[in-house]
Amino acid sequence: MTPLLALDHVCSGYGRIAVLQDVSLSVGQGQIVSLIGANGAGKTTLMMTIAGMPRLSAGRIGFEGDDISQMPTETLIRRGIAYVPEGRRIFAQMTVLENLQMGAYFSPPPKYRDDLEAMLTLFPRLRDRIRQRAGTMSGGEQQMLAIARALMARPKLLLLDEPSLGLAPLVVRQIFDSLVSLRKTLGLTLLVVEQNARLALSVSDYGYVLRNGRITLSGTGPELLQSPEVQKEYLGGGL
Amino acid sequence: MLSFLPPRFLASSYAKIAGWTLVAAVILFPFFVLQAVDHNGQLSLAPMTYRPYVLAVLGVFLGLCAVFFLPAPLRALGQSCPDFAVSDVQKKGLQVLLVVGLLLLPLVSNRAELDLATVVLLSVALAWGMTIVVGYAGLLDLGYIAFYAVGAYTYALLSTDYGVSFWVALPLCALLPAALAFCVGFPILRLRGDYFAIVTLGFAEIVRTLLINAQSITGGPNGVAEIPRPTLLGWGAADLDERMMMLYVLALAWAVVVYFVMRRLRVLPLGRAWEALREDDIAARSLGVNVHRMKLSAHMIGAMIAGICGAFFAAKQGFVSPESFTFLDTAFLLAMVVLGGMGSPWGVALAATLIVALPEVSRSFADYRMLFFGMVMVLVMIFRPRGFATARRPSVVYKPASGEKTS
Repeated sequence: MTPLLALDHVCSGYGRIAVLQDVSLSVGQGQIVSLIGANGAGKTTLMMTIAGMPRLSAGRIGFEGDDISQMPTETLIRRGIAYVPEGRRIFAQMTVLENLQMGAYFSPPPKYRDDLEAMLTLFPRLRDRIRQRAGTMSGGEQQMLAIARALMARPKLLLLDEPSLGLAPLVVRQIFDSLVSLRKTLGLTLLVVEQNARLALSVSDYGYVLRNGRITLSGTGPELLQSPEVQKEYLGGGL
Repeated sequence: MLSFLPPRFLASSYAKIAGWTLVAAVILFPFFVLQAVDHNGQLSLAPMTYRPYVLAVLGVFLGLCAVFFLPAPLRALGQSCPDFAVSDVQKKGLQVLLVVGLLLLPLVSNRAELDLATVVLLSVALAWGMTIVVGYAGLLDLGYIAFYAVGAYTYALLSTDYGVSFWVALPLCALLPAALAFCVGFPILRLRGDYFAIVTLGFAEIVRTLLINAQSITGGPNGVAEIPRPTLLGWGAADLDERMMMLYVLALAWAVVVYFVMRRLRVLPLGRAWEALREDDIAARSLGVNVHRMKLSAHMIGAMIAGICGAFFAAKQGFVSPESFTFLDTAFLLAMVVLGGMGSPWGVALAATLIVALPEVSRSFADYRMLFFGMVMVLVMIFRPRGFATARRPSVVYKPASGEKTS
């Protein structure tokens, strides 16, 4: 069976600066796959490359078997890839509802209305805050909004860039719990970039370790958690 | 005299007043005192006139004094001044009343007042057009006046050189600036923030320099004179009074059109995408908004509105010259948009009216009007630092039972 998303020897970067070198990974239908690595390893670049900004310089990105590497971002969104950028990036001056509407930019109105109700049921906190300006919410609520906004497009694959950034451990736990339940309820596939390796790997089916733009290690979640290299470098085991 | 105030408060307030007055004095100096004039083909400094400068600085000083020493309750009142809380029905009623009132204005006003009212309405429409670009889409376009100039010259040249009538020329006055905005926009809309502002500023200067130097086409610094006046189905040809009234009604109708266009744009997906873009362009892009196309559309729609305003301006004045389209005019427009509170039509209308009408109304005070102007600016900045209408109104309201309703 072809995986939902497959990166084949992908190279990418900004202008002449190469960031990703020969990265191959695959995400199967319904899986949660996490990508861990230190700062500057190229995790965000990898996510952005999948979303079409910047374009890859070599290799192939397959989505449902088709090569999507030359498609513009809006086509990717329509084909079912949603991207939650690093640092939430909600529209601070706009209300929660307006933010959610932006997520459904390409949805026809009836579908949008159902999706909105579904999201508000999934994240009841957003229903309470629906009229509020998004920038006045707490960090955790903003992250939920960012995820809900991306889900409004009814994606098959959700790319999540550091959902735990700047959040309290308890809130991070809640967000990961809701991600796991999202997979069940919506049949979603997730590719998550995380600094919090222990938490990310514990909910993941599979994980990749990115280092200086290359994949150095991969395995199932428990395998990576046990691996000495991961323990030493990302879980503080060697200290 | 002020001994009832605590000494520490006094000391700090005096220091602040003195400091800010000094800052104003330094900033205002080049604008008022150092003015270059064309002296037999050579640029030289104008004879120094300190009077308006001193008065402007004095105005700032008095404004600061008012703010610091006005009794506390009055300050509190100013700061907590609520935004108008009126229902939708009341709002519609107010709008209709306003338009009816403006329609009745020609019956009670003299020619000068009507002329001023026409200028105010055109400025309001122009400021609204700029609000779409600067307020909604967040593109700091410092060359907005260039599109106004292109619209004005399009009508002026078509009518004087080719005898094209106003109503035939009008669509061209919208299309030409829009086409120009498209061509210019393609390369420069990649730029962000300050860089975009600088390039547009340069663009406006290019247009102005072109108008001055392409003498054989545009008449150079002398401009284009004796532009034919439009008539509305024969109305407005009889005498000056009738023409003034017709121009006023046209300006009013145009302002109403621009108002509805901008209100409508705001609740459309297009308007929401502009706002999203202004808030965070990376997030907007990640949601599939074509950033380039959105910026280009805002830029072009703004240019179209400016172009038609320009055509009305040329028709009203009967004369256009490059002098009407300087950076100072863009600065005043920007002041209207910012003072009004980015993106609020009524706030911008109020600010435009104040900025255009105040100097005219206070003309009888001769030089003192700059003092007045300075004082008003300071008061606005202190009491309403984010513009007259600060609260951004949501473009959509959630209604649990029946989905939501746009407002």
